[in-house]
Amino acid sequence: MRARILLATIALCVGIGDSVVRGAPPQEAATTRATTFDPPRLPDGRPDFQGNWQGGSTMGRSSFLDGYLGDREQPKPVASVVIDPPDGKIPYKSWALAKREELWYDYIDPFAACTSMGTVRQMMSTPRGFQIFQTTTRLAILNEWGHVYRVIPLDGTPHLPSSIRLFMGASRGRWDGDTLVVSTKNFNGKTWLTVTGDFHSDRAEVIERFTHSDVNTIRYQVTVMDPYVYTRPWTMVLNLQRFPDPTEETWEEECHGGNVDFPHLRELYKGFFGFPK
Amino acid sequence: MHRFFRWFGTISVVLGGTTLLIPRPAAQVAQLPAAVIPRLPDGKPNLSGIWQVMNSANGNILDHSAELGVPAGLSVVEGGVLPYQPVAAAKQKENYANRAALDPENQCYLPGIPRATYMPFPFEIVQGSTDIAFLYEYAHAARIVHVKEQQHPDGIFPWMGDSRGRWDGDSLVIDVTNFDERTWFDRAGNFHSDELHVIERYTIVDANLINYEATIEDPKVFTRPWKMTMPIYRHRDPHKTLLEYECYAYAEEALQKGAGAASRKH
Repeated sequence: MRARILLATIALCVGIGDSVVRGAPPQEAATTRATTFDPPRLPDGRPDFQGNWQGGSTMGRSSFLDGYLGDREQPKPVASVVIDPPDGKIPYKSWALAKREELWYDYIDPFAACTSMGTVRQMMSTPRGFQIFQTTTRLAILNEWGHVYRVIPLDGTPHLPSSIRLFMGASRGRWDGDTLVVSTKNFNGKTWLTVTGDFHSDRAEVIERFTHSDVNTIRYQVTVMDPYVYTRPWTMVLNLQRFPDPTEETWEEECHGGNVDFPHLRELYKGFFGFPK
Repeated sequence: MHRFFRWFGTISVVLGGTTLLIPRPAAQVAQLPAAVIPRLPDGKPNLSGIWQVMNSANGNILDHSAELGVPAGLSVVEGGVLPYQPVAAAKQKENYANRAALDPENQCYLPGIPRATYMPFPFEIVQGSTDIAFLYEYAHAARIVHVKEQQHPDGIFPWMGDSRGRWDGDSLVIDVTNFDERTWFDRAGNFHSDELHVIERYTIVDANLINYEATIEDPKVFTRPWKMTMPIYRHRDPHKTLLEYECYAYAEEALQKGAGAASRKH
């Protein structure tokens, strides 16, 4: 019994956290591995992440994180960006896997009601992308879509009490050498990770690691922990790419102000405010 | 305890268990530090931080008594009068009479500029190396003050307008055009057209105070430009962060429950 608990504890420790203990991540593509690049820096010496960026390639990354295709028609299969667990599948509990199928089938995406789409999905925005602003004490990410934003304190501000629940959660950042490590909690559980219904609950904690691979590429690694939904933590990696045109700007896309069919919207989202349980 | 007494400019003396407050001599009060403008390493004023106004301008930018949900307040408009053209003056009265149905704030639409500045919610300035982000807690309204490119684009009409910023001494001057015409200046029906042009000046006068001025021009609605001014105060709690007011999420919830203010027309 004790041996089993010990093994379980070891397995849990191996799964948790923002580095895969077994050495090089088993399925990470060569294109996302960080190099020992010396990044552009702010006057305070910290890596400068500012600019206009987009996350991942078109179509692929805001949907089908783990290659899940459901029964909708797809133009081409999409490889998983999940590097842990090694089989590349998001480790849903069986009730949660069934829930994902149901969400994808019903397709009442909270994103379409113009609510903020959560931390991870915000980063996978392409082609509209987002702009990053950075000071010594703050890193702010502002998306064009729906003017969704989050502000990450870098000054040791503590996490919020767990009774506060936010669509974007509440992020807290710290430096690990030239890597920015961000921990986000206080989610309200009303966001999806992808357009295909991947989700976590309000009990999730997300750990992100941002590292420059070169001046136009940020290696973006995410570990999602949610013992309510998954059997273990899981980790994905993808690239954030700088917009190639330096004159390109981030503008406003006001989702809610453009909605015209409110009766229909209200009908569809009747269940939304109690989701998910 | 020591800080408390110092702030009130007195010296505390404890005599046999009783504390006496003695007025501080004038010379000591004069030694309080002069206003210091926070600056970045390159010398530019540093406006980063969380700010909020303390007035009732969102209720009505002119002098007004209280009404339900709106505290009384003095005019933030210089001169206390808005120079409406006659047809526009009539429209404002109509807006006011129907404000429950017509105020875009009740639909959770974006407040535009300058109203976003004086909504009863905090906002955060993140002053990046070139562009500056203004992030408003209300409905996560946001705008980027573009600094590198001063030219406004053609053919786009964001709710928050298009903002181009430059420094004029220690003032940040922001030129805002390209507005969606549906925003109001306040809950009292004061409005503008798509030719609205706003010139804002943010002048930080010490670590905790910005003097804000906005000059409004709109040849379709007003007979001349006019100006509003107000102080903006820094949130002092070092651990203060913006939270969320995801307005339409609650508005939809209220509607589903059939709550009041349901006189929305779409």
